[in-house]
Amino acid sequence: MAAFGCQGVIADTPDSLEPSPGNGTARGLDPVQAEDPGQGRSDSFTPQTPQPVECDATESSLLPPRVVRLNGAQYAKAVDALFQGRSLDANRDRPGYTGAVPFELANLADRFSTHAPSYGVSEAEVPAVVESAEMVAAQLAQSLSEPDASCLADDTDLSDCMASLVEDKGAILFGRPLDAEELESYVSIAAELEEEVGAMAAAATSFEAMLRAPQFLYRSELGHPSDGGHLMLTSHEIASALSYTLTDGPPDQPLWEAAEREELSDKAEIARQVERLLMPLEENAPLGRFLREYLRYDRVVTIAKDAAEHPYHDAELLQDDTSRFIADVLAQYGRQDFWHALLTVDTGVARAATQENYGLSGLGADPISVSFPAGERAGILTQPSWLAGHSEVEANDPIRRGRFIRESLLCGEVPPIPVDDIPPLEERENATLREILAEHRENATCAGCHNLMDPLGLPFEGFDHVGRFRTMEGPHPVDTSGALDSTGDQDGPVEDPVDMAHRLASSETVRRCFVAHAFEFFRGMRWRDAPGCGLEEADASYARSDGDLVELLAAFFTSDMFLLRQTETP
Amino acid sequence: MTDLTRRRFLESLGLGAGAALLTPVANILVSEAMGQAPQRKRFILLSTSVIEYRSLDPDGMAARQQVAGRAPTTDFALPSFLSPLAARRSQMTIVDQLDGPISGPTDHGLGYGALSCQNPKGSPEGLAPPGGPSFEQVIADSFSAGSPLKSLLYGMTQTAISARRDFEMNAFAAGENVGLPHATKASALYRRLFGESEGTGSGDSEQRQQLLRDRLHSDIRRLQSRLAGPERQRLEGYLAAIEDFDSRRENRAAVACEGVAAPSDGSATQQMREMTDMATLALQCGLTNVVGIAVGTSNAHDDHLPIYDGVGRVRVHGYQTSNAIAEFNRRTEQMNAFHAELLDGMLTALEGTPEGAGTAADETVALMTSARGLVWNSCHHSRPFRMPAILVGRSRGLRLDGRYMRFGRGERSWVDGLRTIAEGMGVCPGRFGVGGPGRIRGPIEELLAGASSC
Repeated sequence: MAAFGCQGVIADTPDSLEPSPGNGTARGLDPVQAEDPGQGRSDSFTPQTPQPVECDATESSLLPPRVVRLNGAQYAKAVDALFQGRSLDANRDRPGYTGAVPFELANLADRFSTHAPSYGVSEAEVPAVVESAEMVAAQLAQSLSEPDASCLADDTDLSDCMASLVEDKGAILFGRPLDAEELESYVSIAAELEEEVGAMAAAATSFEAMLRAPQFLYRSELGHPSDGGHLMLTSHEIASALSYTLTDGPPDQPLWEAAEREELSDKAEIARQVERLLMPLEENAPLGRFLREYLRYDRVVTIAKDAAEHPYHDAELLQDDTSRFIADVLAQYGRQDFWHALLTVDTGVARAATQENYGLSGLGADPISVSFPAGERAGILTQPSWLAGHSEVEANDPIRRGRFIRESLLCGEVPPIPVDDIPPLEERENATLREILAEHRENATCAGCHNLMDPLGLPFEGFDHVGRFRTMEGPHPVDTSGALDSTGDQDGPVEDPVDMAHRLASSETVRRCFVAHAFEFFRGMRWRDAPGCGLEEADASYARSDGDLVELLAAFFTSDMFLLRQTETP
Repeated sequence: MTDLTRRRFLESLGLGAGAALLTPVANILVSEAMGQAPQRKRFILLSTSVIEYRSLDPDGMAARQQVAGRAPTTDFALPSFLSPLAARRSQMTIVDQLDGPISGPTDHGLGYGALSCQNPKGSPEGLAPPGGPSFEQVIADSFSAGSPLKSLLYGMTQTAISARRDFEMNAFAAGENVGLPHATKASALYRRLFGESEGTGSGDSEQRQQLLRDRLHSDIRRLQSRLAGPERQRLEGYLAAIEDFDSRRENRAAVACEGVAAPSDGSATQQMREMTDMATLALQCGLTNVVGIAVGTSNAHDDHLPIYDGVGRVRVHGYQTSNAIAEFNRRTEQMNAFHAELLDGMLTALEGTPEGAGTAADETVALMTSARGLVWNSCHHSRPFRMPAILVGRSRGLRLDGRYMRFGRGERSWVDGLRTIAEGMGVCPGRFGVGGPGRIRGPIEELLAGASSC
């Protein structure tokens, strides 16, 4: 049985050897004061404290104009559209791009992969940007030079031909029609090079220039003057924001046409487009990615369980089981009570290769929906992928599980571990993990932090570290008791993980925390930095709709906090 | 070696099976024969996530977790994991217990904080982007100013993760929010070094490159005119990065580094050897002058170290009995001995590379450290108040002369240690570590061979 904490002896620490403060801020030295990367805003949404939703847009409650860098998936889909056209179901007779794309390596140290607003195109990404642009452009020019593919294949004057190609391809890449200066400059590149390198290579260079351009690599949220005195996003900016966020790609034909007709100034039309782009929910890739990154069940593949001890443990398939389970919940509950259902349903997806983790038998090779015995499992927190992913290699990890609940479901904070010494845990023979960890709460040095985590994680002792339900831990009956706090209305003792899951699902704080994290993913900014009362509006909309995910996401994109920008300050 | 001897050496190249591997050497010699190649400075940083304190501390088993200082001395038993570097003992200086009060949100690892001396920009669950550039990038800004590659970064992490992706992050950084990936697969590093794009077929047309540059410049300026502050700055960063890339790409064409077979992505040990060979070649032939190696940087709670041949899995949890602790210590020493062996091989290869009036090792410094400080036994939490610096190599500005020294708890900071190493190598550290949690008091005089010019 694994022990936690540090085995060893602590030296006495005379006062003269106390950690010295740095020349800069003292962040990190004070174990009580947690990091707040965004500093927060005075009008920030707090999951624990509902605020009035009636608010008007003011300069201080709006974001400034900004640009949002694409991620790898978005870049790839935009390139796809270059070859395939806006309607991805059409024109499949044209070959697509084959090659690497930039921005595929997410910053592994970010909470969500969508924190792209904070990214630039740095020295780390430039080689891939340049090389990818070169390769895409070359392939595009070649494909357009095929017989009957475009004017590049015939005797059309190159400048005339490029005018139409740049206009068409540029609109796909930039998400808007090119202005006259842009059009003329990209066309002239080809014209200047034609004699030296030939028509196809000259055309490729024009395309390459557009693929390197910031107008492509960054989606803009700049706005234009509006009647209300603030800047308002243009129809094309709204269309690109909806499309890249909800489908990972540039606007399809219906959305493009709506933007061209200026229909997206109408919030009802925005909401209608949001619904169209999201459905069916269970097939929506960004939505699936959000839930995977939020719930972190993909951690299971990073924990290398001992194959000799657990030959049946297949981390990849367990992750896939949970992805399918979430898809089932989206399909059935996505328009009502989604979050509650995800935390509480006593169903899952399993197959022969993973049945042992679930305590099931007789399953076939293909994944199928299954039901669990009453009182045994409830929702995502009892999925073996989540349990195994929040465990040690050979043991449970109630601290990590509890920390996840504290930070990700309750939107609480656990202070950084103090740089000072951590006392060792007492070695105990034949003790349960709960008994070993009891010192965390009895020792004053440990209790301040561990009381925030351990009571939340200990109920999951009802499962082992590969996610199997259990009632015994060695010779000892399992104690699954715990406690909830900071939930608002669900505080108190917890009997077991099913009780925990139902209480969390019923908590207004947990719901608001879910909304905050959804905002963080879909708006690409830390929720603590959310301006004004946009988050309150979104939470109110989600609650009013009885947990409709579409209503929640529509609220993000119909809020004045999204549509308006501070008046630009050069 | 006289000019006459160099010419004869040149004439002898190109013969036999080893000729391809000597090509980079030939390049250097040719350039010297044609003009004078200036003595290049090189820096190698190796950061592992576990050096057990008793394996470094000469007081060994008697030492406690953090101890009083010890004046510099040459009278100490070389730690066993450094035995591959024993022949270089007179070129080595060990600095123990530098205080790095970095409290990373990654409680089991300092993440970017270890090498950047900035608290990572906190976020929940132990994930945090960098708060500033990592140390080897500060050196690279100077050492690799005109090199085709600013730095070459690689390493290894635990098998379950390295099997899934070619690169890892959380160690090196170009600046705030800009993490730099390091290759954790030999094939990925090989592609980084020797991969070629298809290109448009228009080759190196200067007019083409100029048109692309001018257009990008204009596009960025137009967009910047509609933005303010940090948003505008991000685009400026893109422009600077692409101009730097174009410049380095031009220099790349002038450097021939050949003779390395494509790697096979075998065991962690084999891949580390292959990547180290590639890095050594890159240092020899002038692709770069800075190499960063990071071992065990993944955020995996327990199992984040590679499984080396003959060493087995090194876990940082779950040791209860004294036998298990001894096994943990044995494995970490074996692991770190392997890393020391790799460093020795790099330095030996550079010593065999004639350059200027001497060799490529003449102004080469290697720094070995633990990104989590000196851990003890199976403690899985970072001990940033005891950061080690094991320096080996040759430098006119640093005192590398076989000493071990240990500062008292809190006496000198990790950021001062790194800033001093930079100054000793002739790099003024500027704003490195400024604003971070470490106390900057000034150079650590015991490390400098002379007055700093910064």
